[in-house]
Amino acid sequence: MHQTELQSACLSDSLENLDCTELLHSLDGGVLLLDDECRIIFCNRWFSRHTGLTEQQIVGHTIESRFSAQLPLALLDAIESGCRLRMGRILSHQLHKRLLPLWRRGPGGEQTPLYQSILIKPLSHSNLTLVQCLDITNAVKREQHLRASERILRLERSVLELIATGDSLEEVLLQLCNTVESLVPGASAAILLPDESGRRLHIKSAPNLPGHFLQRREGLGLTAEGTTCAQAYLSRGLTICPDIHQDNNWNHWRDQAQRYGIAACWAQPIIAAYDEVIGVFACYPHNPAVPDDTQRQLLQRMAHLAAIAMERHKRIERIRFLAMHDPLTGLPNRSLLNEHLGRNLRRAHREGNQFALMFIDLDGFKQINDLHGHDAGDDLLSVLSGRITEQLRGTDTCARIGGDEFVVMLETVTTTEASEQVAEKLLEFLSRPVKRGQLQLQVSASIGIALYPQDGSSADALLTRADDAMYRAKALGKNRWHRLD
Amino acid sequence: MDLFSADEHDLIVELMNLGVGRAANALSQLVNDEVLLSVPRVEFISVPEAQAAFRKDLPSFLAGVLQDFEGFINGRAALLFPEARSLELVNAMIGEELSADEITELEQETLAELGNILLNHCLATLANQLKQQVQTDIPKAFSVSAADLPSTLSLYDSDNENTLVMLVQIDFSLRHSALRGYLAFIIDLRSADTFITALRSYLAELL
Repeated sequence: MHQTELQSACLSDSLENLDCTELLHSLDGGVLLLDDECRIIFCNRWFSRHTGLTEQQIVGHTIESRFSAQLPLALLDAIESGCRLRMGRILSHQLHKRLLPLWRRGPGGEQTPLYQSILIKPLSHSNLTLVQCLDITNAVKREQHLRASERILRLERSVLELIATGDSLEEVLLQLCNTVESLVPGASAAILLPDESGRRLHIKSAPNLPGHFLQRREGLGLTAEGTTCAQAYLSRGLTICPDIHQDNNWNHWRDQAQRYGIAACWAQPIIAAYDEVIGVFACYPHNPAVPDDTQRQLLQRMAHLAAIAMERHKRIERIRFLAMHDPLTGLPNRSLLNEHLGRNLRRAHREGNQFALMFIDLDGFKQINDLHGHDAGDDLLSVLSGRITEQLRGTDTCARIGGDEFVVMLETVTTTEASEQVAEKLLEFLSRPVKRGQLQLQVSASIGIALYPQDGSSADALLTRADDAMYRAKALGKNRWHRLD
Repeated sequence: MDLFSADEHDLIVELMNLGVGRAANALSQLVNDEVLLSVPRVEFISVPEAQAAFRKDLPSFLAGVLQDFEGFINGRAALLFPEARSLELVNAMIGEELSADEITELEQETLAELGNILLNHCLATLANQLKQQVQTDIPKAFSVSAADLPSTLSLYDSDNENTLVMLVQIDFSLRHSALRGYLAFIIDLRSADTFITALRSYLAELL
């Protein structure tokens, strides 16, 4: 107790010698003292500096008369109830976006409004009221940043869920575009992918750009003179065109772009594993603009998600392909043949069409394998399968269903003779020699034909019939086609 | 505690309802949305009784706003909610849907202002109607565990003898959310005489 008394005696001694006014002036924050009539009797330097007014212009006035029309009612009420009714108040930034007209000087000398909150404290044992202005700009920025990251996280999660649940790639890409559009207000987003030649970019997804814009942009040349997206693709890094009017590469597209409200373009390449550029994520602001750090980060993250979705899609397609195709020849396997055959049966039945099934077995293939090895046999099969497909229409199917067994399905035939002509041609092309190094490999084929509906009305019946016909052709001397009567 | 007669108690309930109604009005204007507040119960209890009530009705973590007052009565007023839901209230008030898990500086300030408006209106209405004066300090938002609440609220170091708690249950109802909290007025009993006298003269005038 004794100790505390001593300390407080010391403190009051020190305080007596302290210039309180100087203390208030040195504070980092606005300080006003008001009397019970709301008149300002003191303002510190911080306050005059941030209002741009001198002390003389402030002291003696009320806040209301000094700043008149610019003040929100809630602030005037709070000052009144503080000075006259002695009620302490806080005015928070979140509930009052606009309080006193205070300004902050930016690094470039420009004036920006200062984010603030205000404390109004009636002083005990006095009729004065202390008004404190707190600069909370940094807290507001932190908060904005936090909220923005949270939104990104939330949207990212929903996109990842879409990817994980195996929804269509289109759906995921649309969602990514929508995400960017919701986080960059006043901009349209698009995802562009290269065509197979790798020479042109095509718009794959653009939920809010008009349809004919997509068509016209079909074939965006991937050259150094290309627009921002092409440059991003080639340079493999974020490419920014702040204003398409200042960019000669946009000369060709400017009029169209303008019609769709496009004023700038930020293009982020979509980069997959092994640093392969597989597309471009484009953001088209409707006013000339440069992305800030948050927006750059957003584009990067969205492009990354697009890469994940596209790679996953590619892998699934690949797995699906492998499950349905013969790895050696790339031809459909028995599963895919059954699928096509089933579909064609239903269609032929519905539309009253005729179609043909051919069972092809190579003659003398085993000897080639035995004599020249499996590699030679495999090469021969690849070449011959190519020859078969060359003789077929795009809608026909050729499947490899065993070592040297193929099944061809002609989707529709108008006459019996038409299928026989195809069989003739196949016999001719399959019996031509295949050159392999110094070797000339040569086989022939036996083909059994079955026609729908004459030779059977189910897949099994038709396949058995064609198989039987093929054996008949073998028995009749090979290198021929046969159809059972 | 039978400090107040039944009539006096009824009068206090009526005045609290009036104050809370005015606060609801002010809040509705501020957030451009309808804020409804009601006071289902008012009770006068001792500090230990208040602690028991908080322990029973409130979760282990609380958020709140504190404000000291002096005048015809002296003491400390507090608004208390479950901590987890205070953020929800702030977000509902400022019309934000998304929010971090933790309350930020700005939200802390907003919460302080909400409590400020509520407590000021209650105290000002009480004083005005009773033709008395009261002065309030600036509000402070806080988060505290239920165990530490008594020391946050207490006026003097463990001097429970001279303290009376006016515990007011308060129900908030906004368009998308509703929650229950408490207003606690910790009154210095040495100033209770003025309070009782003021209540009696108000009642006498009615008769």
